[in-house]
Amino acid sequence: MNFKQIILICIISLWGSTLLAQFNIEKFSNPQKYGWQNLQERQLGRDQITSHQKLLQIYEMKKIPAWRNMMQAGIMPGWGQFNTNDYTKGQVFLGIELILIGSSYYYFDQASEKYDLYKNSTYIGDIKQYYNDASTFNGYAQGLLAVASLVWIYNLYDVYNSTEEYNANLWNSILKEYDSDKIQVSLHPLGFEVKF
Amino acid sequence: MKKFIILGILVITSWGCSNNYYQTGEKLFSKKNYVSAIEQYDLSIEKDQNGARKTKAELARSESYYQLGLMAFEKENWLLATRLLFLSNSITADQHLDNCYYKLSETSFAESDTSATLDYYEKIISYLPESEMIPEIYFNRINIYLNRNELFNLLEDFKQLWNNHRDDQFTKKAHPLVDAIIPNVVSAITSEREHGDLVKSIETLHILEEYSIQHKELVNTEIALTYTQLAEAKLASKDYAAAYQYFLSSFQYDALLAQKNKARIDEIRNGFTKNGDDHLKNFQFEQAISCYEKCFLIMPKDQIATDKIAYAKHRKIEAKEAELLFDNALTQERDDKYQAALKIYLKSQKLVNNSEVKTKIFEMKNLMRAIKEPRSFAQEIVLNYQKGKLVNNVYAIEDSMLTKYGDTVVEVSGWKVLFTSNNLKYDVRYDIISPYENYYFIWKVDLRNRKLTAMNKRSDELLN
Repeated sequence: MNFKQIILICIISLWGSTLLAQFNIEKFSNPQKYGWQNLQERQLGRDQITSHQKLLQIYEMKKIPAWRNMMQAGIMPGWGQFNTNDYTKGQVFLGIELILIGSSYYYFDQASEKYDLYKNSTYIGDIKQYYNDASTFNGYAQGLLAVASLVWIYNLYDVYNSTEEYNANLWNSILKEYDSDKIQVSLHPLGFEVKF
Repeated sequence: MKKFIILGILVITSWGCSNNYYQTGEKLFSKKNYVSAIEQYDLSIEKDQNGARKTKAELARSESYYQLGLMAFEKENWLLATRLLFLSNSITADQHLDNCYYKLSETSFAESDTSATLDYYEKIISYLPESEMIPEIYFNRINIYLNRNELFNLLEDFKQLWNNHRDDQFTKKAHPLVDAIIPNVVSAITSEREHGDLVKSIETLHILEEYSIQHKELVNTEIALTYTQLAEAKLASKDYAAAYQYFLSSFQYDALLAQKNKARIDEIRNGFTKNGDDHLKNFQFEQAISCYEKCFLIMPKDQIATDKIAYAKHRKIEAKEAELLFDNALTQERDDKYQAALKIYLKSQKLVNNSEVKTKIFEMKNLMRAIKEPRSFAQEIVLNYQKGKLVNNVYAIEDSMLTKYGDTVVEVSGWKVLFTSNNLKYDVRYDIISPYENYYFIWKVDLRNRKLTAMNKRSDELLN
C-alpha cells in the first residue's frame, strides 16, 4: 500500500462516518438545546451576543490576519512571530534558517568547486577523489536544505498558532476593557461609534 | 524530500481545517446548507479558543436558524418555524415568531384547545412584548377569560390594554365587555372581602373605578366600604394614623358612609381625651399629654386635643410651682412656723388642690390651735368627735347609771385633760364610778390631726 492509497482510505472513511450519522430534526430544533429555558435566559443570551457584536469592529481593526502573517513568515522566517510580539521565537527561527541555508549554500559552493575540479582534472586518481568530494558536499547541501524546509514549514505552523493565540488574547483584552468601561460603544443609524 | 514537504503541507492543512469550523460553516452557509453550517458553528462555539470567532459563529448560527425558520414559515410549518426562529434569538426572527405563535393559537382555538391557545398567547406576551399583535392577543384572551368566567384574569389583561394601548381599537372593543362584568367582579370582591386581602380588593376596585362607565356608584360604595373595613382593621391593631388615612380615603366615595366614619373618628378621639382627662385628674401630666396627642393620629390638627394639651402643659407648670411652694411650706413647718407654713400651703392649694395639701392645711390649723390652747382644743376634739356621738354615748351611760343606782352613789369625774410626754398629744378622761360598776374612759387625742385613740376596751367600744 503506497502513500497516496493511505491518504485516500482516510478521507473516504471520514466522509462515510459523516454520512452514516442520522439527522434528528427534533433534536436539531429543540428550543432548549442552548440552555434557554425561558424568555429571560434567551434575552440574556441575545444581549451578550449583541454587546460582543459591537466589539467585533474593534477586533477586526486590531487583529492580525493569519494568512498575511503566514505569508510574511514564509518570506522571512520569524517575521510572523515578531508581529505577534513573540520576539525570542522569531529570532530563533530566523537564526536557524540563516544558519541552515547558509551552511547549505556553503556545502553547495564546495560541491560546485569540487565538481569544477573533477571536470578539469586529468589524473584518474584526482578524478575519483573530486567526484566523491563533490557528491558528499552536495549531499550535505541537500540535507541541510531539507532540514531548512522542515523548519520553514514548522515556522509557518508556529506562526499560525501564534497568530491565533494573539488574536484570542486581543479579543479577551477588548472584552476586559469593555467590561471595565474603558471602551464605550454606541449604536447609530449609520453604524457603531467606539470611544476609548 | 518531496514527500516530506507534501506530508508537512497535508498535516498543516488538515490541522487547519479541523480547527477552523467557523470557516467551514461560512462555506456551507454561502451554499445555503444551513443545517450543516449550524453544526459547524456549534462546533466552533464549543471548541474554538478565539472568542471573537465564537461570537461571529453565534451571529452566523443565528442567521442560519433564521433562514431555516423562514423556509418553515413559508411552508406554513408553524411549529417547526417557531422552534427555529426561537433558536435564532434575534430581533428579525422575533418579527416572524409572533405570527407563528398566533397561527398555532388559531389552530388550537379551532380545535377548542383553549389551554394551548392561552399558552401560545402567553408566549407572545412574555417572549415578544414588542409585537404589534399584543393588543389583539389581549383582546382574544379577554374573550376566553369571559367564557371561562375568570374575571380577575380578564381584568388583569384589560389593565395591560388600558395602561399600554389605550387608543388601540382592541382596547375600545374590550371596554364594553369589561364594563358589563363590573357588577360580577364587585360581587366577587364583596363575598371575598371578609376573608380576603383588603388591600388587593381596593386595588382591584380602583381599577374598576377607572374602567367603569355605568357602574361608578356601585364601585364607589364598595370602595368606601372596603376603606372603612381597612380602617377598622387598623384600629384593631392600634395603627391609628393608617386608620385615619383609610377613613379619609372613604369620604370621597360615599357621602352617607362619610358621615358615619366622621362620627366614628370623633368617638375614637373622645376616648383618647377621656383617658387624658383621667390622667390629668391624677396629676399624671405626661400620660395625659400622651393620650391627647394620640388624638392627632386619628384626627390631625384636632383643636380640642390642641387645647387640652395646652391646658395639661399649663397644669403641669402649676403643679411644679405648687410642689415648690409645698416644699417651702414644709421647711417653715419644720421650723415650727405654722402660720407662715399655712399661708404657703394655701397658696399651693390654689394651684393644686390635692389631698396632701388639704391635710397639711388642716394640720397647720390644728397645730396653731394646739400651741395656743391645747387643753381646751383637746377637749373640743373629743366633744365634737363624730358630731358629739362619743360624748352622747358617755352621757347615756352616765344617765343610765344615775337612773339605776341614784346620784348619791354614782360619782362622775367630769372631763379631764391630761398632759402626756408629747406636747401634741393629750389624754382626755371621763370616769363614772359606783360601788356596783365603774367606767374609766380614756382617749389619747392627737392635736395635729384630731385623731382619737382609745386607751382601753370600753373607750374603744364608744368610738365605733
